[in-house]
Amino acid sequence: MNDDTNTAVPNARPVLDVRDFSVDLTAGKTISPIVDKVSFEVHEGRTLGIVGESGCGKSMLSLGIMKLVPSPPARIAGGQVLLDGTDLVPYSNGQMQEIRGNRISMIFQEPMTSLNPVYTVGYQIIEALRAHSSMTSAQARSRAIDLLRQVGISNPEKRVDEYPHRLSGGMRQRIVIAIALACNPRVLIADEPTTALDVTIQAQILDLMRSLKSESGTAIILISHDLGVIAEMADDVVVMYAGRIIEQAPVHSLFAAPSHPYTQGLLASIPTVDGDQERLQPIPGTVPPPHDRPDGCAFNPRCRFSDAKCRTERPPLEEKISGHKVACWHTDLGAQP
Amino acid sequence: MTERNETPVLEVENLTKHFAVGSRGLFGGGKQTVKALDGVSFTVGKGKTIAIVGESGCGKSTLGRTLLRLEQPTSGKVRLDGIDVTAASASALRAMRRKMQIVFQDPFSSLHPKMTAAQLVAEPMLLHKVATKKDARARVAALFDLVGLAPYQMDRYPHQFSGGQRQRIAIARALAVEPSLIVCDEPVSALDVSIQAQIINLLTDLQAKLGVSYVFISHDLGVVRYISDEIAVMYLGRVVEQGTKRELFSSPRHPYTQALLSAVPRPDPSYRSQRIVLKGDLPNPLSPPPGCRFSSRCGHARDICRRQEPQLDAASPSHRVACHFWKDLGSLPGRDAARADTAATLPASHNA
Repeated sequence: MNDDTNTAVPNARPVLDVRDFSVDLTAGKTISPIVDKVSFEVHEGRTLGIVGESGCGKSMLSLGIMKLVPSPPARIAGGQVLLDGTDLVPYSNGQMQEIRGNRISMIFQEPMTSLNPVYTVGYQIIEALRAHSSMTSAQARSRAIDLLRQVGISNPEKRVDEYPHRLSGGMRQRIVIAIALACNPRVLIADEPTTALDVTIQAQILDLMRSLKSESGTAIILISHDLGVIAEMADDVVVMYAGRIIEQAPVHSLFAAPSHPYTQGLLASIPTVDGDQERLQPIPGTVPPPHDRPDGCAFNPRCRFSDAKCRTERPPLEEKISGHKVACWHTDLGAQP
Repeated sequence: MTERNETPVLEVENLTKHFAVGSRGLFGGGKQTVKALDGVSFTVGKGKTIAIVGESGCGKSTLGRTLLRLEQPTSGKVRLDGIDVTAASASALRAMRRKMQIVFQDPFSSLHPKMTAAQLVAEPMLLHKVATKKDARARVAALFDLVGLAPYQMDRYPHQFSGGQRQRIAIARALAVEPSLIVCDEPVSALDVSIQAQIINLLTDLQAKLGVSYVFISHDLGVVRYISDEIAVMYLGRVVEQGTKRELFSSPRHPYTQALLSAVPRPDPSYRSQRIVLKGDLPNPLSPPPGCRFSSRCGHARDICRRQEPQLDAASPSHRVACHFWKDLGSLPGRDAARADTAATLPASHNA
């Protein structure tokens, strides 16, 4: 559990320090930024939640950190990704192979497609282990069984020889997590890890991720469109819109005082399970495509506070209260969630 | 709830749909059946919404398809405006389909990519002869206006629309034949939250304006709370609890409903850890547990639960629960236990 005392950012060097990171997308002759000068830090044993709707750049950002952006059409256009102080951006693909699955791991939304259907789950965990260590196959197998037990798979000695199609969606996602954690990564990037799962199974997986994090101290980047999942899991939150960070804050501060009109709009448009609502307040319009982003604040065509300045000048991401940053010219107006 | 004095738009009585699943082995050793729907009953009044809630594999989509007789029911009755759908001949059924329409989850695959938006919306009208080719366009324009699309978009193709707009086209298409009932099968699950809210508001506005009834199939309890009058919670082909929105949300009786409600992540960091985390996965529908189907995952299961299937029991005239122990459990048991449980497995601080 997290309480307020826990939300202050530790002084230690962040495990992952992303600075002015940009990814461009080329379509024909136009080059448009899909991740636009994004900066954040992730600390040991903490979870950074990245939230936003489709097209906000959250998945491209995570692929960018892993240097897995599909290139072309996308390419890393600038910035730094410092893992324990070392910049990964200039790394070659060969050097990244050493990092991926070892010091930074990733889990994806669809456990069906991230496992290879023709190999047993044990084989796939052992493959990850042996790629990054000098274990014998017997050692790797027993470690694989340990990992399965750790992610809550019952009867791991038997399950280790099962093929993925024999397992349920929730079990598959546990296997994917076991593979991701095989080499004790410094950072785990989880891109919509529970979106494809039912809520009761989602609850199990979120519980698992929380307890694994507190055991291992792995820093987690959790990407989700679901503000409920973010509220439940994250220590710090980044809200993205049209490739940019528009709000960044410790989780309690973000939900207690959402300050960007977009964040407020997102919260107002969720139908809640607790309490009756008169009417949902949708955000009008849609997210602009990357090649057609408006000048100034990217949210201005959908924003009720929009004025001349919003349409011409891009608001910087500025600290409004301690630790709570907002990119809006009108945060004083938008205090109402 | 249905007013007692008028015929409900939809009456579903003991609806059952069993699927025979392939033969096992080369020599056919006996077919197995999946009881995708097993004795489901409910009614929907004019201008009302019943939500069918449950997780994947609970039978909610099969229910939607069987209501429209896109699947032939194994047994049971469906009556639409008092007329038996299950017994209708092919031609009678075609005429009846005008009164019941469906909106699917995925607006990317439910619209023909080579037809314009206007053609898509006009098609059902022409098919059911609600309009002639000549006046169809004017009616399409009116429907576009009704669902919040602009007239200049009429001759565009589906790929030129966003997901939310496509769902508006699908809704306009369903409304084109002035149905009394629309089955909405996860109509907003593929949409972003800000767009989802637009579509939900549209559906509620249309209902207020046109008096259409909805069977709203969803896994999202937040959406369901917002849109429905009545709710049926399904688990492995059976309704385990059914009641008005107020009854279901303020005093859920079935342990599964309670777990489902508690498992929804709330956009509130202080809510953390109040969840009832169910053990295990949904059982294999080919071999559901004996007795109560939920017994293998239920924290309160006792011997009788594993032997005898509980029937729906009236907790109030409008609230029914299929659990042997609903009276003993109270409206929200388990919650405190769950809290203690989670607290025990989690350390006090992530930095520890």
